[in-house]
Amino acid sequence: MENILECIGLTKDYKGLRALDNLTFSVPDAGKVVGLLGTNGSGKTTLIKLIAGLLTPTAGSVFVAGLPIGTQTKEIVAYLPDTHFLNASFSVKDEVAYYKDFFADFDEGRAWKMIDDLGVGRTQKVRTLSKGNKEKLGLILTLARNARLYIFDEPIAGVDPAARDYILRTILNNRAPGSTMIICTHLIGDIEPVLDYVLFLQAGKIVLQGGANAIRKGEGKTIDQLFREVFRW
Amino acid sequence: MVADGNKYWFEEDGTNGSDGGKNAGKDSWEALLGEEKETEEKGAADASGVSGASEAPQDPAPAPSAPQASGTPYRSAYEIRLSAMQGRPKAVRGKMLRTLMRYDYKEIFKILFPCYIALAAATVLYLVVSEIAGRVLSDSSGEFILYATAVASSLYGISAAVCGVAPVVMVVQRFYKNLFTAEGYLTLSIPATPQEQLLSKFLSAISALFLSLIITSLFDIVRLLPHMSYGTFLTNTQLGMLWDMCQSTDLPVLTCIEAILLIAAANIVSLHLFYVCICFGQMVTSRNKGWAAIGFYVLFTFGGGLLLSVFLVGLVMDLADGGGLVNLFRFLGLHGTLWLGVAICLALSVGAWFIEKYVMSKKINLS
Repeated sequence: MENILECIGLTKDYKGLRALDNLTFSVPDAGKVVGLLGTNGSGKTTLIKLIAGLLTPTAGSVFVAGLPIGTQTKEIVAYLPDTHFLNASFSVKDEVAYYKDFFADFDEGRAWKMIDDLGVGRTQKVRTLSKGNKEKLGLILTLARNARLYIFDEPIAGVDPAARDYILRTILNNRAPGSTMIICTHLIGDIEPVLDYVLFLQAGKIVLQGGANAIRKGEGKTIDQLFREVFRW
Repeated sequence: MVADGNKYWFEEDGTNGSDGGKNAGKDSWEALLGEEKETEEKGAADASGVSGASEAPQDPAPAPSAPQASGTPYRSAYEIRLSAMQGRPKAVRGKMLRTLMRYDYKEIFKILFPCYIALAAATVLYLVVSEIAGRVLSDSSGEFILYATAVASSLYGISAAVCGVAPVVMVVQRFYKNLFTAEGYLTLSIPATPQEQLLSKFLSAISALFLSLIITSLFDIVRLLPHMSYGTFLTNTQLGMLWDMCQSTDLPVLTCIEAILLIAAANIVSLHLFYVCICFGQMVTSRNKGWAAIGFYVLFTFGGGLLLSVFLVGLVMDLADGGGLVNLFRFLGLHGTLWLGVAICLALSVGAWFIEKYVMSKKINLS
């Protein structure tokens, strides 16, 4: 089985601060949900940005489906950042058209179905949407892509519990079959039931990785409890 | 229990972590996938003995490693979906630059078109008021008409100024906002190369700037049409003043073309200066990128001004001594000097392009 993601000796420095330190791991192309877990400042977002092609590494390399990061990997990676990234002056219809124009794997029908279920008007401007609806719209547009690798950076941070349930449900029910998901978060308790595999990151290094069930069985604890223990202050 | 350096809790004694845990990761993946395969097989065995309705599967799609007909090469679920897209990825990549430019034009002209319409309206108002003022004032003095003329002239002046400034503001703002703010997360995730992104911004900006220049020049002429004479054209319009300057040269038409090329090249350098300052600004700070860009702009324009002053002082001193620099300009003549200016501007533009491309490829800072 080939790897959907492979990082070899990945290092990223920011003005004297080492964000990622010689990271090496791989994720097979097996359609699993991978949790990228760690505290603030552990390097999760840096790693994600490197995979999404928004940063270049100081050393090492990243491969997605065997390809170096570039336009070909951006065609198969769907990335949801942890910030409001949509053009505020666009309407919902404009955003859908934008995604359709730039991403060949974008499924417009699926996007409209999810948007209509959300109850958001098609001609409504993004700037007039509530914070929760903006995040949901970003999520819908990302999930409407038939990507090979989805990357979600803190998809449930800063939203109410009902919205978190909606987001998690939407993520699981709408991803393309066979695709791999990397979910980066520090809200482990909510995400734990959906994780197949976990990677714990601390100070730019992987401190723990394994199958979620195996870890739970081996430790006799939930991932959340293990996280609190591993990253205890 | 907790991993120590690169050793993981599930590693057996004697296994190494010197590969950075890659093999440890691989082992745990194999364990996970092997476990799931056992569960699936067990589930299939149980299901064969079950009668009656059962729950619909959560995920109806076939597993990526589902066995396929013997003799056919393996195709993952992704590849099957991709073939259903019937060449769309290639089509989207093929027209990436055009699509990028379409969106850039839409955003820039969303503001510029209303400015042009306002300028058109101000020009019509100016013409109407001027015409009325001409007829009324020839019969009697009309204070109201004088005020109206002043207002119409001011409105025209303001509209023309806005049409001159707005394109610069729009193209700079588009470059900054679309690439280096939160919007950049989406812009830089689309499958476009840094060159395509830059070229789209540059071409849409240049066409917006030149179109605005042409439109303001045209309305400048239209405004004076009822009273237009050759003299009025030479003294009261931008094109006329340029032509007037070129008249005194040996080849006025060629000189005019060279002057327009030099002005165009200088505008291109100015645009690149904005872009380079924005690129440097976002490199040095995560917050206040805009202010950092302004700081670099002030630095470069001050530095450029200083260099120009040193050059001019050198030239004057050279003139007094009858030195090489003056002889060079004498050799080049007016036309050669103008072309030298164009060449210098183009060289600066090319250098700026490479700086922007380097920053876009290696030094993006979206935090």
